[in-house]
Amino acid sequence: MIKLGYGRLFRQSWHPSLEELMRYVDGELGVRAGAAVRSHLKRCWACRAKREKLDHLISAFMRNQQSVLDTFPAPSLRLRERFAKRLDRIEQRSGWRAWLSRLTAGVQGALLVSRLPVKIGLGVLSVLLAAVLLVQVTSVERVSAKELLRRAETAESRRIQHVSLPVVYQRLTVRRLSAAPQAESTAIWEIWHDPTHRRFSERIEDTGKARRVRVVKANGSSGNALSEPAAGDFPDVLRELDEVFHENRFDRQRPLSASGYQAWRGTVARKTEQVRKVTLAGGIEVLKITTSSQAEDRPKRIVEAAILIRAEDWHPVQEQLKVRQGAGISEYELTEAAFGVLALNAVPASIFAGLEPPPLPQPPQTVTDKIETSTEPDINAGQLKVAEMEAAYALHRLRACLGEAVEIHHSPQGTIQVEGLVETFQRREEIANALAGISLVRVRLQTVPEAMKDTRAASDTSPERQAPERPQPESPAALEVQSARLPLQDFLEPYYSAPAGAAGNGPGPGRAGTAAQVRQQIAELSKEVVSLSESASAEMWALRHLAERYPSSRAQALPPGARWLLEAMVRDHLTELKSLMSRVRRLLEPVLTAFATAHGGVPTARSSPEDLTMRRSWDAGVLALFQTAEQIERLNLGLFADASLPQAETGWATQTLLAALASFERDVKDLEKNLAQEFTTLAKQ
Amino acid sequence: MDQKQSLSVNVWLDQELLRAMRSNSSLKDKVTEIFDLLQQPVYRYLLVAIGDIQEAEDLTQEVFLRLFRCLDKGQVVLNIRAWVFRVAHNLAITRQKKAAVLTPLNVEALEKQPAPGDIERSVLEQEQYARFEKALALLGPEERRCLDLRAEGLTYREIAEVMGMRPPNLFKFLGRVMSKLIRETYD
Repeated sequence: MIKLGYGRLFRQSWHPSLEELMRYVDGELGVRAGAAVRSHLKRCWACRAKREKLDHLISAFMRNQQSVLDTFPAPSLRLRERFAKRLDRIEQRSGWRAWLSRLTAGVQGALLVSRLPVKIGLGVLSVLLAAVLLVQVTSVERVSAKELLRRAETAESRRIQHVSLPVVYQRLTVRRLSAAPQAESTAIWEIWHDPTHRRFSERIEDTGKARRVRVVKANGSSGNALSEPAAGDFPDVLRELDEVFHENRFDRQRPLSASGYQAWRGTVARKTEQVRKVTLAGGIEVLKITTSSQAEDRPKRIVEAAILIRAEDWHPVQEQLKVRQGAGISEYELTEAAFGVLALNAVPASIFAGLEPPPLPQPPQTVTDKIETSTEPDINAGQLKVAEMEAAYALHRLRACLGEAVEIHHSPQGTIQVEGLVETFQRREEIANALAGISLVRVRLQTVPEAMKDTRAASDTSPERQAPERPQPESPAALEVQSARLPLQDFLEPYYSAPAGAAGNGPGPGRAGTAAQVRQQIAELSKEVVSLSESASAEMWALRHLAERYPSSRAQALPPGARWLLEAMVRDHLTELKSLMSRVRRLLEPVLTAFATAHGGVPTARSSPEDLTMRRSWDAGVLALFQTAEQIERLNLGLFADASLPQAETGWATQTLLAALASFERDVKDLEKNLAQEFTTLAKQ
Repeated sequence: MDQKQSLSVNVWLDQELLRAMRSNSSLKDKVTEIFDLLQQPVYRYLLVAIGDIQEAEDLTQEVFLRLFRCLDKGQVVLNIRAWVFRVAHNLAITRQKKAAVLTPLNVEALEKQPAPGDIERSVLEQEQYARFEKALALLGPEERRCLDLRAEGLTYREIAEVMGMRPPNLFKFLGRVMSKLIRETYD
């Protein structure tokens, strides 16, 4: 509401509302809007009279409250005593935890000082336990090739399902192994496969000749080829492999996949199979399925194929093909160099350029209606979590998480609802478009003009509500942050006018100038500090909202893709916050230190003993950081934007701010440790 | 200390609460220290809300005992002051639901016991003050409590947290309260 007034702050047609005046009187309006109201009050008698009424009401209220309290006695002196007794009793009752920890400590102590035979016994027991664990860990479950491929297929489809509008990207190194009369040949083959819209794109690089060609096809492998390479441009190894795939009905769009391998395997009538465990270079353990065809003597037929599936996540990493070529056998090897399931909007538009575009996303309301009326039975909690996190990430990318009134919540219909108020129609479109591709998400955004229209329609006829419509913000930067004297003004003026190394107020910055220049420097410092503090506050609130919405317990239950997005958002905010606070510190530390030196010595950074209650999880780390950041913001505004801070408190506030800035860096390091631990732990699961 | 009870008291109090929370002392000592810092405002708030000294004292103790239990369970409390007032607020509501008669303020009794300085005030001021008191008596319990919390030095953000509202809604709510008071007192 305040933002709307920026455009006409200096025009007499604008008057602050009672609510704004009240927040101004209470010093909670924000720096820029507060300056605007202050400036307005100087010129407007009507608003000044309204403000005086507010002051009188506050005085009357406090007098009334005091008179009420005066009729009652103060709390009895025994209140504290009685509280201490009750607290003792409760502590004793909850003392079983302490008893348990003492017991644990006792057992540990007994083990450490026990006699030699007991120690030997414990050692043997430990070795046995370790051996059992080793056997458990190293034992390989016996599975058939079919079962193995089924598991790999399931893992493959799960990976794809975690992303809405997925595009599977693979970068393969294709190699023809040396066999006379053909020489060894290698090519790089990049594939983008969009299963939703049945589009396929590839880029091929012949490492021997450094040529690049590109083929794009639509509607499956039999679809329209937009650009076929000339035969001479196609690397030999890929051309041969293409013929092999065609001859063996091998899916060319999924050359290295469990499903593609399974499809080919189903066409082989007489085969023998073998599953072995192999360790690749780099210590990666894989399961190798080798399928040999017993009745293939025609040229270009696969006589033996092998697929290597990573044991860790059932992901295929290599494929080996032996193909009959005349009298001899040619060997091909496809090794995965990179793999990813990307969201369609994260793929460069050039990849599928020229293809028929996917159907335009439905307007949000229509999408919702479709979801609501559908009787899809397989919408589960995991899909909702992923959709929720994707919506949060989309808003994060658009920086809508920094104070914009847009919220995400679960609707009773089992969808994710994004609701809120945005400034303009263009912004609403921007957000709606970003969210349109995410399944299960319903968007209900209202623009400010629409909201005001609704409010006016529903409002009564009070004169306050009949104020003229406020314009859109024009140039908030034109506002003055502060025109009154700052609490530190008496120190800052000589500080900035003193040459470098001058005595008195300590070393100045060495930019002595006229009084007007000095005042200008102080005003710039004030503006920059206030501006940085407000930006840092927005980042910190966004971080806090994430911590409150996805605390450690909830983060652990998120699917891997959603956890990754959460971590990305948290780290984005933290990086930005660190940068902003670092700039605040660089600006303020010389000034504050000089002030502290001139008024009784440089303060020592306050100690911050670890509080285990507040630092156990990443969200607790964020909340601890939030407290420090909020304190810094308040002190910054108190010292550099608010002229009401009493002079007597300036010294105390300066020292506290210096200590808080130092403490902030420690809190950030703590949080980074929490994050590393939390998200590494999650990644291992 | 008195000087610090100004607008910047929030910063000072937060600093003290933060120091208490991060100190190396036991949880019992931490809570006792927080009790020392906040018992007076919490007691005042409860007293105005429920109008019974004994009950206000009991509930004041209960608020801080709940804080102890909460921290003892390992729960994280971000803003101690807002948390304490929220619990006090909820306890006051529960107590009032149980009580048959709600008497947060006895306006008639107050009229019989004029506040100090009434005699010196002009007739106009006295008349306005009387109208203000009547307007105050017309406020609902939630409206009155918002003002009580502000009088105890809580920021708007903290009041919103205590009342379970979003800050923009609280601004509008308080705007309506003040508008009502102005209308009844001056129009």
